[in-house]
Amino acid sequence: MPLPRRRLRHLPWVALLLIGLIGGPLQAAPPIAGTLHSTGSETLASLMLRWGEALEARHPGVRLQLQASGSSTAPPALVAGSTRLGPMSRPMSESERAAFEAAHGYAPLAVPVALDALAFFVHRDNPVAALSLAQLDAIFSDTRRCGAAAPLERWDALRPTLSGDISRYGRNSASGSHGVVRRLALCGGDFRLDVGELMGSAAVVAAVGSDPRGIGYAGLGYLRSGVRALGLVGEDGTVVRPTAEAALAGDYPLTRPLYLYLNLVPGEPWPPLERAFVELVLSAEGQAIVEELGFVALPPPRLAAIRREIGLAPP
Amino acid sequence: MIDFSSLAVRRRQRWRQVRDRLATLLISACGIGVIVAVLAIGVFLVMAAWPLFSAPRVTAESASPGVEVAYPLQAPLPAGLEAWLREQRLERPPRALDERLWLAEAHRLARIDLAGEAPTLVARLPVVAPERRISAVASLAGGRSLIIADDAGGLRRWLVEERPPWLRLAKTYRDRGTPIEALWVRPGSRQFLVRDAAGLSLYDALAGERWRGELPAGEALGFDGEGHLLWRGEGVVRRLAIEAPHAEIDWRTLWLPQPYEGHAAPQQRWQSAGEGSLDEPKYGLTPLAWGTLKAAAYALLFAVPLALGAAVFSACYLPRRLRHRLKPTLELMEALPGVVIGFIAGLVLAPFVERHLAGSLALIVLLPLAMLLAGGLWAWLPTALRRHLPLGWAGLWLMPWLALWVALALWASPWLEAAWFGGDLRGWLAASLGLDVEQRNALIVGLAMGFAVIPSIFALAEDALSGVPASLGEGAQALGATRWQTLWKVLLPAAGPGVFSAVMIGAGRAVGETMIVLMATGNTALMSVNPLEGLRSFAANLAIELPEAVPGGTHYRVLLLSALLLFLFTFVVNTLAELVRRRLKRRYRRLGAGR
Amino acid sequence: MRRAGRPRGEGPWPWLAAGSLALSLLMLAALLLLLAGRGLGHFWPAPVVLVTLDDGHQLAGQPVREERRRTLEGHWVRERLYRVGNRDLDGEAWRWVEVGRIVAEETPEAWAVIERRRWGELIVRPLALEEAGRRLTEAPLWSAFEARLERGRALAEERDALREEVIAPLARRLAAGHDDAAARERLVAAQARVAELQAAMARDVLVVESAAGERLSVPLAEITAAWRPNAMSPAEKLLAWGSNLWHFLSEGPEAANSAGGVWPAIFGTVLMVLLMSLLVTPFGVLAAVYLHEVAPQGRLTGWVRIAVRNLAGVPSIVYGVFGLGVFVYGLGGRLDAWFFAETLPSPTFGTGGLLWASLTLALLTLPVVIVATEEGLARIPDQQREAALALGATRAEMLRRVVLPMALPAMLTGVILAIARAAGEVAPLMLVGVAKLAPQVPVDGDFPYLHLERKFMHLGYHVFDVGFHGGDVEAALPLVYATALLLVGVILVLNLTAILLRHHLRARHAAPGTR
Repeated sequence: MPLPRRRLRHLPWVALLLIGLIGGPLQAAPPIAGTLHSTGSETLASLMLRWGEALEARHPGVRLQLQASGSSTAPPALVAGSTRLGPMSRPMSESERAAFEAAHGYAPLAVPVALDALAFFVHRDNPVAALSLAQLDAIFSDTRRCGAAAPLERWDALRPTLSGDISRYGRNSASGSHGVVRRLALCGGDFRLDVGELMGSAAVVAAVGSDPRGIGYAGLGYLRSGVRALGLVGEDGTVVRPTAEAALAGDYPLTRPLYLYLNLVPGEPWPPLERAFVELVLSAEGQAIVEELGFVALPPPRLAAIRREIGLAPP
Repeated sequence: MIDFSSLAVRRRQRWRQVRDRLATLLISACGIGVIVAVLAIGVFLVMAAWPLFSAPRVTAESASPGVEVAYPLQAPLPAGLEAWLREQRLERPPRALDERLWLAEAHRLARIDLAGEAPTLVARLPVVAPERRISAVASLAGGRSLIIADDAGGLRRWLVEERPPWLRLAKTYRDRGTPIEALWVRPGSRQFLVRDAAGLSLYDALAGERWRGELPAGEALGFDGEGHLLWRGEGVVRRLAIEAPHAEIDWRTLWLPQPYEGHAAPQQRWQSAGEGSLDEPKYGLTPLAWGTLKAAAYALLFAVPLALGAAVFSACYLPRRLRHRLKPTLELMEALPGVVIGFIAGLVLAPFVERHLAGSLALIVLLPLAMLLAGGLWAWLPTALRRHLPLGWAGLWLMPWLALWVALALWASPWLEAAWFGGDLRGWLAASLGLDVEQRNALIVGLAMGFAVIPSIFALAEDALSGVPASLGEGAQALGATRWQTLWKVLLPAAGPGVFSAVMIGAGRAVGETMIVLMATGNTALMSVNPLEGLRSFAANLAIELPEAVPGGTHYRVLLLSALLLFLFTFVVNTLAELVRRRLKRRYRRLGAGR
Repeated sequence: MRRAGRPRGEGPWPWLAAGSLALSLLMLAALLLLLAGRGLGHFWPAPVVLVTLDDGHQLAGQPVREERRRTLEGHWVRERLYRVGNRDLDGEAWRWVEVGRIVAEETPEAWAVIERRRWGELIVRPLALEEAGRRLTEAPLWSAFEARLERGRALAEERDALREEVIAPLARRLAAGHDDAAARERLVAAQARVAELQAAMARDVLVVESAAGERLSVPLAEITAAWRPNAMSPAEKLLAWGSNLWHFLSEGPEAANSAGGVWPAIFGTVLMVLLMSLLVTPFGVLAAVYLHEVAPQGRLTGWVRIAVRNLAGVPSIVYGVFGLGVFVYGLGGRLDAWFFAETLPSPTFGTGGLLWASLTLALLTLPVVIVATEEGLARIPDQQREAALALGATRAEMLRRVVLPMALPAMLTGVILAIARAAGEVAPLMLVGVAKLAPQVPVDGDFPYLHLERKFMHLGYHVFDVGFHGGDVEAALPLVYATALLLVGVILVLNLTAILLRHHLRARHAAPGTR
């Protein structure tokens, strides 16, 4: 099966450069130390872990403590103040934002840190290459708000040479992926009751990879050799494959930005720990990690714009 | 001198007594404290779940000065729409506005879509009996439910659909009564107030009427920012504070099918809302209770025969020396953590069984046959060989024999499938028996959890069987009974209650086991008996959802209620088992067990 | 007991009973063997196989497992999974290959497995070494490479030591507001040295070639380990196996928990269990003594006893719910309001942590200790107590001098059983304080040395987390096996101790007067 080639053959040189650079700016920087707590998205967990490792390499006195059981755990933790850093794989809802403002008196700061394309995965044996959103709705939803008349129960209905009923895998309701798929692919309807609620994206991919009749959704970064990512058929019949390019260009509809939500008092200077962390995340090194883990890195112009917006010096 | 020393002795004596009192006091205090702390679990759960069932209240209080109407009683129409309505001469009938406009025309409701450039009349729908008139219409948050009241006192909830018949009746709160004058939906919730000539009522869209009271004099102004109703009467503005944080919960919405938005028929559903407040949270506990019991039932179905068989064999046939070795080994099995068993079951066993479905299902029949075959073959063995394979040791030397059969069945799995099921067992099951097959299913949970509860059932049943006074069994054998006859006619009736209590304890464990169910199922809140479909249990649901629930909210409290149910269930089951066990012990003592 | 005569007329039932026992044991054995095989096998350096496919393509990888299944289109396939590494080159570190398409397999000695800090493993053929862009001609290549790798490792060690032992404490000191010039100077000097070391480490580069013929330059500083499995003798492999195992036990997790070791999880588990036993032992024993020796033996006590016994059967997740509601939200929130008001709204104790986890588990295991201790107390003959009292001892003295020493083994059994149960419980911990990654262990050199409010890692939760949350389940699976094996090992050892202790205890009471 041909897989997309990474265009990162030059990575070692970037890494070399970075290793060389780390020593440089550090001499002038004021020492930073302490523990950074983070509660939130499971999708971002691996990213946060790697960013944490990189941060520790930059600033040896710093530690990152991570809890990751779903995006919905971030707003309560931010509201309660048990964390200042809430990674979320979806934007905060109105009510969550209102709860935050009621508790603290100001709005949380949302920093987009990467893009993630949600992909629907099928087993590697499965010859189906692309589905439309209405078909996905007919597979996954029992309210079928996107307009399909009948549910899709078997693979034969999609392609006559196949046989077997469809096994559906998904995430638990706390996860951002669950919410995004509900909003974008099911038109806000309900999931069928027999969509498995697994505790992690990796578990979804593992389950689909071992079940020839399976279909499930997870971030594009979880693509493994046991599964294939489905393209999406648009209304005009064109197929968009979930790739970094399509996500960046905005062609792939199931693309979502990943956010870091921060509890910062507006007008006051950033606390050094949070500043160092966001600084790292929005640097070339931080975005290289994004790419390494299979997410879509933000292009440099967009990075610069974000940095300007939140008041960080340009890199 | 003597007096002095006796004084010292007496003083020491008194000091010892004081110390004794102190120590007793300390022990009592600690002991009672600890026991109370342990028992507090039940109290805490009851207290945490209690507010769910406290009746909603609406109380009139003086409004703080400067309070303003944040949400008017009826959303104002956009300017263009107002003009269009005038043009159509449809000015002030009862109406509701969401993504569409709903206008009452006598007994019919007009649906006007606003999505296009100009408003379009889609349909006129008769929603009340022809002799009645619609007196009020309101649309719930999200625009997928309409509440329609009429002048004969009828109050109904209709679900909005995207294709004809456009509206579907979901629930009749009441059919007749005092004519209804107005409907006001509380902002940001699924509750609404109903004003009729006789009074004011608070309704929840699912649970129906939750409060009814007298109508204060004056008129309603609108809702303030917190969703309380502002009311002007006798020249002063007052506030009707509505305290109904958990109005959607009563025993009916928890346990009975409910007409949820988007579904044609009432449903048993557990789907907590998660993101966004516009969705209707669905707190049906029945599927979870079902899943819990289903998992436990399949676990027991697997574990009870094995554990009792093993216990019987151990109590009646095993040589003493071997028994002393074997019991601790099976106790070690009990210590295996659920997370390890769950991981093996979910990530290794489930895909494996799915690939070898035919072989695995065949094993259910094949293994007992293999055991019997071993018995048959053994009887034909030459005596010399049989002496090397005594029946008492069969529990050990049957292991490789059974392993051989397992391997054989799995190896032959594809041929089995090809020969009997046209090569596709899953398809055959779906087509001829109507059974869906999920990879992570109740069978896997039954296997894994059964494995986890075998040791506890085994240990207790074995204790009960081997505790039967030896004189009974010896008497039976002396009269010529075989060991099996002794067991069946003498030991089992004597130890029956103990065996029963062992099974009960096993059931208690299976109901509460978390990690195995969490990892080995797909956590799908289905209600089916099909062993090849998934399930979602109370315990797994708690582990998945409690960390995200906001403390004090409805979701949190419903979860705590489910924890209370688990607690009560296991507590009652265990108490029963313990009482039975005690009675049995007394009986053995009476029968003269000299242990 | 009758010896093995021919048991006429017993019928088929005994065989079914024997079969049940055999089947139970078989399952137990299969589970343990699976854990041991997969868990320990992971550390063995597997050979690299160079596979040629029928279309002429080649791939180099380590075979992992085979699968035979029916496809959706109704035919059977047999596939083999290879770990091929090179994720930055091919986009994927794993390849499923249809077995029928394999034309040739060989195990050439030159192929190496190279572990890197980023992008996972490489499975490649080393071509040459470069120093600052200049190609070296040292021969043989592999030993030269190993020597330079060793040099790099020494530099990295010095750098890490500097970071951990000099820069981190200084930075913490300065960040806490102790501003003094000497410290600042030392910090700058250390940072300069680190920069120097970094530059020195970046000097050497290894040029490698993949099976598809692509070339890649890998800086030696990026390489954490490298070996040529096909060129290793069994003794070398055994050595490598031991050292891998040691790394697993002694190091922290890497690469988003999907590689590296489990040391913080071992530490967290042990510490939590230790704290729990410190809490549960005195209270459990006191409650048992109260129930058995002090409380009036009426109907109420009988009911309380049954209730306590039954609490041992209440699901652990319910205890977790209690811990979350009462300890974390209730007690913790109160503590924060009283003592840590200055850090609010960030909670100190108002969030899950070590203390609450240990308390919750102590509550969970309390019934176990109470029941076991009570059983021990019940075994002591009443004559012993009566004799002590008759000799003029008060009740406290009788308890302290006579009863408790005799019940000591029973208490110990109870505590060990409690520990064994607590070590394996995961569900309540998910609610009250376990963390996915908490590299900062709860004990360190900062006052007050033991940080009860911190979150901690746990072996059992690590199994769940890595198996279900990790980025690459395929890569993490062997680690999960190894972690699970470790957890099971710890628990089995604890249980065995309890069983032996109980055995010893029973033996002693069976023969009175030997004391």
